[in-house]
Amino acid sequence: MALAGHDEALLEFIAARRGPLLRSAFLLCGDVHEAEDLVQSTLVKVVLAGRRLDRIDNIEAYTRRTLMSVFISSRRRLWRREHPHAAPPDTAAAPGSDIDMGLAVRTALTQVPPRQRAVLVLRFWEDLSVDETAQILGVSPGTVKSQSARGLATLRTALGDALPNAAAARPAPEEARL
Amino acid sequence: MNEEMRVKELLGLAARGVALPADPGVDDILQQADRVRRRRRIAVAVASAAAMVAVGVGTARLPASGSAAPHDSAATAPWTDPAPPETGDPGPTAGLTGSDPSQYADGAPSVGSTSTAPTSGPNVSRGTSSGTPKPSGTPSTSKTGTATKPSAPPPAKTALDTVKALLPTGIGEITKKVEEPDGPAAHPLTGRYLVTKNGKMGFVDIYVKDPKVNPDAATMTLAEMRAYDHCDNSEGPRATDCRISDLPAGGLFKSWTQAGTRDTPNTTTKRGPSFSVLVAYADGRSIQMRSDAGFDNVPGYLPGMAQPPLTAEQLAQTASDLRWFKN
Repeated sequence: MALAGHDEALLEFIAARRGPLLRSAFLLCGDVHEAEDLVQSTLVKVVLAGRRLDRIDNIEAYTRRTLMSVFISSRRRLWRREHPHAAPPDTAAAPGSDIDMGLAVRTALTQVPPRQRAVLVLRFWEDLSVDETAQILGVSPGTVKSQSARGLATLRTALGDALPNAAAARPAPEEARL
Repeated sequence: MNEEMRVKELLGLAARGVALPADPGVDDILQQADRVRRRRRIAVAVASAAAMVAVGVGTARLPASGSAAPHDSAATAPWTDPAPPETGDPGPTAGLTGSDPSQYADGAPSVGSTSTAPTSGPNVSRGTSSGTPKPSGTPSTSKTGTATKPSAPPPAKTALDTVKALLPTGIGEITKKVEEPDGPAAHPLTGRYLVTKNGKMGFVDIYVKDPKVNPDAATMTLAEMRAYDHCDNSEGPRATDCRISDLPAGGLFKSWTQAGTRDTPNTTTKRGPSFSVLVAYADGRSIQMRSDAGFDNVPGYLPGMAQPPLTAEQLAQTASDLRWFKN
């Protein structure tokens, strides 16, 4: 079997990475069932790319890139865009405990556009650098920085004092209006 | 604690409580991958068989038609794809296709995907309203055409034909439809239609929802459509001029405009302005259309038009046409 050499490594990789990927996917989409679907689609693509794994230097990066692509693609379909809340959940207004804060952050994340959300997850949750994030998303480092700043600004607005406004100390660049 | 650490901590709180499956699901993933592989193999086999049958029928019928077939080129010309991809460009699948990682680029159309664009790129003229085009330079088409297809029935009306009939005349040549990736859940008319005029290319995106055609397709309710604010919650180019009005029988009409990114610094994809409308009816039918001036620097697309191919008024009138739902 052509893939025999990769099968064990792939199985180990999938078993080890499914959990972390699920958390990242959950932060991206905010729904655990959709997150499972995103991860499933992502890992199926990784398996299907098995024949090319010899040419993929970094399976981890390939998997991240695929997850982001699957997520972004799902959001590009106009009829599947997230529905806005008629009235924002009040958990965002008065976060108290960690559980409340977690809910508040989830709510705040829904207000961040998907691409900015992807940047936030890669930069701050996956601890990737600006350059690594840019490479995975296929954009320039400058775009990563601007989208990160805008995503953080949205989070800050939604979370208030829970997220310190470090950017206030320095002049923010003019937002590039997309 | 610096900002990065605080953000990470907050994200950790948000992700806390996500139940990880006890079973890593490796078997499911491998089985699903196997199913995809099998489907691909079957698709390739079916396509190959169809091609062989087509060639076989063509060669079998040629001798019976007389002796006029001028050499080998005539034997193959009628059955040859008139315009194979010339550059390997898969054509624009702009945000409508699956999930190849290369698709992510500021809302740019995919450049590398090959999954849903089996035909040529948009630069190749196809499917004009006057009938199936012949490639320029095809030898001896008249004789071979009658010899090999003596009593072929008129071709069934395609989605492209229907869309051409419903769009205003004079907007340009409508050359290609890119399939929407929802598969069976997508309405046959749903997709991207490229519009070429004077060497410039725009497009019209059409999303039709009709419960009679696709009862299982996911859709928004009227209330959700009404609540969705395209101006405040748009992705990519920011929408402006959002308007909403009620239709007599409980329906909804929405319209909005996007300025494009031609004058926007720090964007890799330059695109022109667009008009969008959404017309939804109380019985669940709806159509969303975008008349888009196109892209300036995206492979697979000609340079964009100065203005969208349909004006806002044309778009509103076209989208209000109930013939979109006649099937």
